[in-house]
Amino acid sequence: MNRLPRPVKGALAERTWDAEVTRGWARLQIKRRVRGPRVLPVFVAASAFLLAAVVWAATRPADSAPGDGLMVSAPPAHAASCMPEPVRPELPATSVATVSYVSPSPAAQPQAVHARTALAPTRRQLPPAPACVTGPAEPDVVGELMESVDEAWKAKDAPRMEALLLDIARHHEDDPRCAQALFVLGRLQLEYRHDAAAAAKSFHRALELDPPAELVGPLWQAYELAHGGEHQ
Amino acid sequence: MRDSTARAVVVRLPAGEDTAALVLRARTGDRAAEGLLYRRHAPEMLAMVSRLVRSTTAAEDVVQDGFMTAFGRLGQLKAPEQFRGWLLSIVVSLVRKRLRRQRILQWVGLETLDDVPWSAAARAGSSVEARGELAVLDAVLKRLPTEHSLAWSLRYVEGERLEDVASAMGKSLSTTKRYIAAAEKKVRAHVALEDG
Repeated sequence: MNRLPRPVKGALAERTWDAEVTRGWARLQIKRRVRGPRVLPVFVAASAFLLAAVVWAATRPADSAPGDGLMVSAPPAHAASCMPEPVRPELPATSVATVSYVSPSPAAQPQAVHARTALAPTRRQLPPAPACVTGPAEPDVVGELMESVDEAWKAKDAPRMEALLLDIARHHEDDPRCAQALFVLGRLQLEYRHDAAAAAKSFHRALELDPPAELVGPLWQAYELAHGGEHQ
Repeated sequence: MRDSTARAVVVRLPAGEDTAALVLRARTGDRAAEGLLYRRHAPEMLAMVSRLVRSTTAAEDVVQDGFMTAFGRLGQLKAPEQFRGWLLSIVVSLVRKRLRRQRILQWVGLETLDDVPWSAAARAGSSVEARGELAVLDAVLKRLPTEHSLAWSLRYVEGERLEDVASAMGKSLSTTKRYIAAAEKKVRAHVALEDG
């Protein structure tokens, strides 16, 4: 008889989890940022505000005063036949003046619909939007620096490459290409200058900057290599 | 440049670094140490949780949440060298919640689609009988109460020590033994297993 071994996991296939581990670390960073102590209260406050706005919109009386800026359209003409005769309020004398500046309804419509339409506010014409004024396009400094790095690479000028990459790393951390620049810088430091500590710092900084998904794996690998060298 | 890349010396991986030392570094906010702790323990945790919840995606979610909780509470860990056991207790607690939620979903007819049955995850070259036994064991464990199933799985599927199972489940040793004995009785009635 075929007995299962103990522990039973011995009968189950083993697999590698490299992809999940790499992906997991990146997701962990995102989750931490989202659920972090600074972001969570903001998120809760925004949710509460949104909820309050939805509740207000749902409970607000539908027939608001004309001055509140919300438009209530008149019912279609065919609805008049199936609608009961509305109870018309006793309007004060000043209301006559109000009726004079609203659009008149077609004469063919029943009296009730005419009155309803007459009391509805007219749609105001908005002034035309001003033409969008755009200033001169901002220069792509990082792009130009990266091009210079490429030229330095072709000229095999490693010190210049390093200087340019350091410039990107120091002054353009907000740019999404900064992680890539740090990766190249780290490799230069590790492989050209044999400075494992500096390389580990560069790779670590790149990992902190939310690198693109395809760069996370190589960055980790490089970081571990450099980190090992640092402790040698 | 390319020549220097080719001649680059591949330095050794930092595998020998002590877990306790990494925990102490991580406590001070060292992200690199956290990363190394994660890479050291995540594969084992992922493998274990995927067997417990029978789903790879759920396992990823649980393990990420487990590490997030662990890194957030690292200051509460009294013995840094016991990081693995402490992490296991956090992960097991999350697995328990997940299993309970899965049961409720199944009860209302919303079974998770990415369920991976054990019979499908059997080792390559396993006999039909072995696959059948795994399928039966899977079904029996799913019918057991969550606590019993979890305790038995940690002990006899994962091979954890009894003390570690008790600690991970946050129960006393005697309660854990009782859970395992109750589950063992049901399992033995349906599945042929090696003697424990």
